[in-house]
Amino acid sequence: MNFPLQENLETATNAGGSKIRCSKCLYVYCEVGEDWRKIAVVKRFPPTRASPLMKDFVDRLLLEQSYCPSCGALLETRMIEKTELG
Amino acid sequence: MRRGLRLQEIDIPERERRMKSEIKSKNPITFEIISHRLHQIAKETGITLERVGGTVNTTQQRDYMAALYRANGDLLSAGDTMGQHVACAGFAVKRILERFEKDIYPDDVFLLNDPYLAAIHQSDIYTISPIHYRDNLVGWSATFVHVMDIGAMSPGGDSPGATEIFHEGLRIPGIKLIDRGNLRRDVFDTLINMTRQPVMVGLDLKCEIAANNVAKSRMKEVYARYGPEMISAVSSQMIDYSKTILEKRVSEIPDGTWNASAVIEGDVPWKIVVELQKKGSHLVFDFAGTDRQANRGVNLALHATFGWCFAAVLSTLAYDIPKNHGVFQVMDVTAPEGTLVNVQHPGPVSLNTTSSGVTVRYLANAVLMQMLSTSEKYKCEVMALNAGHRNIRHAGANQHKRYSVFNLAHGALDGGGARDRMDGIDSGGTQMSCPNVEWFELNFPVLYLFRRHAKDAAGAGKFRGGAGAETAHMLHDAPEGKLKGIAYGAASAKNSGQGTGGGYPGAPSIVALLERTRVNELMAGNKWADDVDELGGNATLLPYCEFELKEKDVVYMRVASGGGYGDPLERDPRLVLCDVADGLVSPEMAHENYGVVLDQQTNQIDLVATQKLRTIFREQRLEPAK
Repeated sequence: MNFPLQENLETATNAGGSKIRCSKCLYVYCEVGEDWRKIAVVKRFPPTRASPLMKDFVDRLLLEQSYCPSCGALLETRMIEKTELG
Repeated sequence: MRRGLRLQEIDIPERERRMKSEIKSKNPITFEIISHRLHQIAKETGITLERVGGTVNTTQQRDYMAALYRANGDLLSAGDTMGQHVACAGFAVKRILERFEKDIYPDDVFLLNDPYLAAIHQSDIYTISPIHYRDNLVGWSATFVHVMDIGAMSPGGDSPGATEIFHEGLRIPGIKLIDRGNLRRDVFDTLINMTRQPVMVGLDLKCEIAANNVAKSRMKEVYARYGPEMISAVSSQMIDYSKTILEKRVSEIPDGTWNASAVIEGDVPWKIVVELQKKGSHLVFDFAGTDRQANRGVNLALHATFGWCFAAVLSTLAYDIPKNHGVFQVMDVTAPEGTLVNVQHPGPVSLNTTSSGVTVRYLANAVLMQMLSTSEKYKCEVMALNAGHRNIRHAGANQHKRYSVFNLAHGALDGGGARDRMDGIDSGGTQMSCPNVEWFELNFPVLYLFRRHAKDAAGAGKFRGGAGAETAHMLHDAPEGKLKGIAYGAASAKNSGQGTGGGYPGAPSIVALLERTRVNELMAGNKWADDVDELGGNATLLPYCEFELKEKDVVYMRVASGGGYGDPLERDPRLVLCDVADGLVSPEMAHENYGVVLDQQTNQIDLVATQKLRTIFREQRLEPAK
């Protein structure tokens, strides 16, 4: 049985267990319960990549994007604090 | 110690129980007529507030609530008003029942605004009228408006400097304002006398009384026509109906737990954490891990946290079913005592609706969206989120030389979040409304330099977020040459709409004070000052604070824009072209974010170049980071 996790991500269950995979190219990332972000290609940009109106926050924030390592599908975009990176 | 909040079910007499079981099957038309009539009565009650009221909050911004409750305080029917208040006014009815018990008579009217008992913050005064039929208590009508002043340390109520509840104005645990039809003038005068705007607050209270009178009158007509047993049976059936439908929906979604957290930026970051536990047909919102309560008014009482979670459930899972006690029964809320979401006396609360309140709703929505994403049937309901906006209130003498307090209500111009099949709504806002510019300028001593959709603010995506508004205003014809300003609202660099499924976040909401600008010089030169960069002056981003708006100063505000949904490289290039033509997206962002190449000569899409550029962008995603 398959069910979606979010746009471009889904879980697929068969005899081999439940996996998280790309819903575009079906590339398997990990077991359900594991963090798919560890397999994804992650890139970070200045927040102004999202909008020039983010210019007041370039010292604090980063735009982080995760892509499918197989087909390049965009999986997630989020704004993170630079301090979150340690 | 962690406290849970769950509402009690009521006992139904046997005869009424039988009628209830038969009403929908044997007389479905009567059921539908009565249930819709009750909804219409609640709506008409709200409209009465708007028509009878005289303040900007009530008549223009719709910062009000009207709902009907059963005799025991359970929610019976809400109009099109705010879920959090609909829930909390029900708690207020129960507190009135406890306090006055055998001292409740036909044509009484009670007030309550104590945020530790039932209200959210003191500015929102619940006015509560018992409804009697043939001398029996059969229900309640409850309303609130955000009164123009509550005697807090800051005009209008939201007080950035308050560090305890005693700084935040009147706190009424329950008082009888009208006794068996007779206004207690001494009580009325005492209350309005403790505010900066006694006439306007008096008008606020009177419009609430009038609205409750309309509700009572209409309910009595319904009771006279159908009889109390029939109304009670339909009421019980309506609640069962909502509960049954919602339980079915929730049970169709896979079980699981989902987490989210957010930070309100004040003197220190205040973090709110939630975990949604979904098992079978029940939802539990657990706020364990949330920061201790703050010494600023960003705290919520537990019932208010419940109310904001209820609002989130209403808008995601129950927007199309009757809003009543049945929805409550599907959810619980727990939170540790002494935290931002379960404040204890004497923690301040005045700023909470636009800080922790909207943040709790944002987080509740965030975990609900994660949950819905796992359901093939319900993933179509997933929507990018909005984490709130900044706002401004002004106080001082207006051009008519009268002291006035007013807020700019620009939150009603927020951009909505995108969904998997449509863009977010531009200036979609909340359920509140924003007066037009001319109305503001007619009543208050301000001049708008512009109010428009902010360019490149909407979160990019296959479906983009809704664009929020940006505005700039200055003094105009202010007799004192100044106005007090109070900056409040969800302060966070990340308070914009968050994207979903790869969609980009919208630009966050900010409030900036530009002091000693060139605005008068520009206008004297017949040049309209619609470019913030041309205004010059010293710009300061305003946190939660009071400030002074003086001649030559300009306040620039931008409310939050909605987050996008999905990959911007999958957006139909024709839609991008429309956005560029509408001034919502710049040609640069059309290129960078959407991979759309526009022919500068013809202003048309170069489809071949667009396809090529999008392929390049996708390949670049997998190249090693530089």
